[in-house]
Amino acid sequence: MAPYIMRIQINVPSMLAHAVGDTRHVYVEASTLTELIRNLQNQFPLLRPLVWDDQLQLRRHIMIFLNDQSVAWLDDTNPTLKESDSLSIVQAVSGG
Amino acid sequence: MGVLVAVGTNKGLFLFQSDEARKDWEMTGPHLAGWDVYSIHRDRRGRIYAGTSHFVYGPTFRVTDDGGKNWQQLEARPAYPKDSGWELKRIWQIISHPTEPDTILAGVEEAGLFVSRDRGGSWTELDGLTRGRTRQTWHPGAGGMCCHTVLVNPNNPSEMWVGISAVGFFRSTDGGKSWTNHNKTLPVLDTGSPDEGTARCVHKVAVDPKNPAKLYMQYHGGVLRSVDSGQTWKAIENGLPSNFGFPMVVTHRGELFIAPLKADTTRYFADETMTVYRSKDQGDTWQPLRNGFPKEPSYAGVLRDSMAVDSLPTPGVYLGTTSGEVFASPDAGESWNRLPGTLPRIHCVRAYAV
Repeated sequence: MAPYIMRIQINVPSMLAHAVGDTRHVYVEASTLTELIRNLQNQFPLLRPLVWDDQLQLRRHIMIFLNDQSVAWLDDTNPTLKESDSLSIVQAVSGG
Repeated sequence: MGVLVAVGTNKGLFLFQSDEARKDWEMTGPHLAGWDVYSIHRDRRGRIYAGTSHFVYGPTFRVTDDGGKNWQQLEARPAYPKDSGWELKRIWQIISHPTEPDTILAGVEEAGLFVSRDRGGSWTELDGLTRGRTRQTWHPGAGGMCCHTVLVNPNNPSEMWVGISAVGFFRSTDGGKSWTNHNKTLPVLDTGSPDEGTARCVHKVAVDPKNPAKLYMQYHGGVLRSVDSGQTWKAIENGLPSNFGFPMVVTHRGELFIAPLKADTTRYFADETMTVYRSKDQGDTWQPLRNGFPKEPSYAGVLRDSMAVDSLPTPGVYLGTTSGEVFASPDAGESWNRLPGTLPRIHCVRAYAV
């Protein structure tokens, strides 16, 4: 059975609010994590160069969390999405 | 008529506005708070461009068409081909083409030159600059490998010049298609480049608007003049306390202004108090200007784009420091006033008659 398309909340840092319509939360539809990120990039083209570099690699000091887990450390790199899932773009903090 | 002074800092952009007297100033900002603003430009139709960057989020172009009330990020930005291995890191310089109102040129880091013919809607690299055989020998300066100076001859727009740190000075006579390195008469520096021909550290270059064959350069240890369109350079350092510094500006009347700093180890005011030097004879002699600057010691510096002149009949001169102070002179450097506010570290200052 094909996975359901979910409407996922995306949380963005305040510095990037201008790139998604002056808001901190937007919604993107997708059924898997890979699809969600691709749709996010396409739906918000101003966000893309701020989060990913020219080679579409995640910028060095940015982390993306699916719920409370960094997607870099997921066992399943392309999980099927659930209705309650949310994706957060987070600026890595170090030093200070 | 009034003046708009735009100040880019490492935490946003500030706008100052005054009338022709240039005594009382109103500030707005921070615009683009939190973003590092390395370059600002206002085109003839009033659009203000800001070259922003952030250590996490990278570089972007932002524009406002209503004097700073609303800012938009441009979707397009300069980009190198994927196979080049080069990355856009900062936008160091934005200028308008002198005869094509919609054409904007951008000097960027990693060093290169881009043109937009639709006010930032799309960008093309003028790749004759970076596809030369010496490109692999280019080495960065302390601020990165940046194309920080872009000049176009106002009388003959097919003649262009760029300055790149720490590589050198280049001239094009075909509108940016091909470029010639004119480094021979500039002092060789130990930049790390294996090629002496590209081991030069140009800090800033200004072109005389009345006679564009005449250019002036603040070098990394040299104040220089060219009278042959930038092909050869000679020192003009008579009366200066130091030949190190960053900015070089020239007014429409031909007066030159620089801010000499102690040598590159310290990079604060050479006199250890705020002092600007002016030449009224094309660099043959220089005079210190201090009237209105604080008298106490100053260990601030001035970065390469942090000095500007306006185009009013008596030119105004503007200076921003690394300690966040902005000073304005309404009388071509005779007297100076401090503008309101203590800002973050200042990266660039631009002044426009509005």
